[in-house]
Amino acid sequence: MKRESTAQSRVERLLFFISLALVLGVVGLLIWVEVAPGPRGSLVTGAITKVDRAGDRLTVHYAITNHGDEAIEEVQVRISAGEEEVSQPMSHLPMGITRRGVAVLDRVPAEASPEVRVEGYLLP
Amino acid sequence: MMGTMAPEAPPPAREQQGTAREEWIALVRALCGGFIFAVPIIYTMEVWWLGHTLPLWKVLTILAAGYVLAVGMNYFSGYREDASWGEVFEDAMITQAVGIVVAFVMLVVMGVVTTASSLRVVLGQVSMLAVPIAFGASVARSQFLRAEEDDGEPPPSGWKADLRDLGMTVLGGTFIGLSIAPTEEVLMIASQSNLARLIAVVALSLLLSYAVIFAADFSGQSQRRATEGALQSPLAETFFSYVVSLGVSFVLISFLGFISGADSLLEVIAMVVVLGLPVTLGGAAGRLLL
Repeated sequence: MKRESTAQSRVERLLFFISLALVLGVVGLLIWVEVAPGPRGSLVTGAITKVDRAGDRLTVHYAITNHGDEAIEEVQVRISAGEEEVSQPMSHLPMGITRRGVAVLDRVPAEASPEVRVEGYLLP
Repeated sequence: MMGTMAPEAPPPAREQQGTAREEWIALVRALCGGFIFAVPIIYTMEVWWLGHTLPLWKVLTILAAGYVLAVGMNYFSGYREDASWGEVFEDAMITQAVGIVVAFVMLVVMGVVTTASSLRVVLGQVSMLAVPIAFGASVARSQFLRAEEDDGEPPPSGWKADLRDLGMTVLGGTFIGLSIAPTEEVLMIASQSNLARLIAVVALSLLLSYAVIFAADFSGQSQRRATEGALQSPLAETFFSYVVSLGVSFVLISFLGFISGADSLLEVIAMVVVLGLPVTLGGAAGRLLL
């Protein structure tokens, strides 16, 4: 069941111009974002999102975010509390993406507070 | 001697209203088609990552190629007869825009695009998904239209109609759900979802289920509205089919071993709701086949 081609209604015209503006807007923004001067390279941050303590065992939930303009690889994450520390690698972290992880640390004294830091990564 | 031409009379108001309604229905149909056709692609993280890694020229090339193909699709199987080239180009532009809107909405609802996402990444992801969604929108605008058929047999009503809808919801939902349930994306999206996002997924699922069956005018809509049965009113059918779809989603996730005793109730609900969206769309598409 096909519709016969008729003189275009105002709604149809309006839809077309909105669509045209949307598509051209996306294309224009893509080009603008690419050519506009801005921060280059990768800025990676780590943050602790939750800590569970059971006796002297700490379960540390953390999030690593790549704020940079390119994906990175082999991200080395170190989570520590007092004398205890754990290293956890992430193989691939695209730009703009946050990955979450959990580290378990044993024999952590009550006064020790956990920390998470990114020790390094490979650029593509 | 040249004769004078009488000025063309404007179309009557009722005709204009009819055309506007047709355009609105065609837009809803395109949106629904975009969601139905592209839902497996939307649930593929490798496609999200392409938005991160593809260089600008490739993204623009894909967008341009998608538009050219949409023009071809609209020309050869468009929903207008004897369309001019101008109308074909305009229809293709509308389906491209539908692709962009559907891609953005889905990425936001799934939590792939957040306020922390960079603009370049969002644009890349939306552009990557917009092309296949635009195909779905084009196909839905032209191919899902089916004349009301009268084969002489009265349509089933009452419990038979309810049973028919139940069966097709389960079949269609399982068909789409089986292609998505085994993937890691459901688990990933569910684990990153908060309550507000899950409510948004539920609302979108219900809205799409209603739109596909009762608003997009795909086929048999008037007959479906006239069918008698406890679950045949638009609201009752929409909610009932959604509950059935959630059941299908739960069975698929359980059967594939994604639910363990260590999962909290909220985690299980999140997985069921996240998979419930494509299953609901599949169920609605299944009922369209009746």
